[in-house]
Amino acid sequence: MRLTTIVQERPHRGTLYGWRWWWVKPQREAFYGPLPVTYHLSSIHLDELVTPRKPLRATCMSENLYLNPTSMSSAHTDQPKRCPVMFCPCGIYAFKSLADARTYWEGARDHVSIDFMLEVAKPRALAGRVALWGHVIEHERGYRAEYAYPAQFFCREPDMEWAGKVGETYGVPVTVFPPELEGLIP
Amino acid sequence: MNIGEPIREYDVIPDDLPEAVRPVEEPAPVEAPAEVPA
Repeated sequence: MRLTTIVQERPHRGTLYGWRWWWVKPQREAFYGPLPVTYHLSSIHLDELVTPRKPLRATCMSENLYLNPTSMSSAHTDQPKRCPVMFCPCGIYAFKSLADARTYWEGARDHVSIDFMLEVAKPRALAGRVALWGHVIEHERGYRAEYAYPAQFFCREPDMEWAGKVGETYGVPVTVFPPELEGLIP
Repeated sequence: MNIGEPIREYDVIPDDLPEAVRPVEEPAPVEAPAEVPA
């Protein structure tokens, strides 16, 4: 880690935007009878649903991880309630470019858990721009943020029907990938 | 998620949050007109 390059800067005025992919999970509202289905977003990496119309707020889960717990817990000693902090992997992640977000998603989709495959017969995923605010750690290719919420979803034209339902649930506009981004669709 | 090395940190003051999570501005209370003595 190049400690010498890290700078604490003055507040940044204006919402930051990054790129993410999400899994889309159908949520059945009743077990029997006609089943109205809504779609919810889930983190690619963690099995956590994104609550519609409520900003995501980062919380540090380092106490629950087995990855080098000593260094992680010490990262929060000066700021125990702050998340993210510099030397802990906590925070809501987003990439600066759609290309990097796509590369990450392609790697993650090949490691989908069996539980997820059983739950979702046809896995769907959405790409989107995500608004980031609050305390932010900027990295070379992305950000870790305290708050986040999707700002715009992108999908292929044939996916617009179900993607539109996701947009309605979350109050986020959905558009077809513009031609300049088509090369970045997996 | 490999986003590279940390570069800097700062607080972001948002100016245009997504509409779904934008705080609702309450309308300013309307003051009653001052009573004019007859």
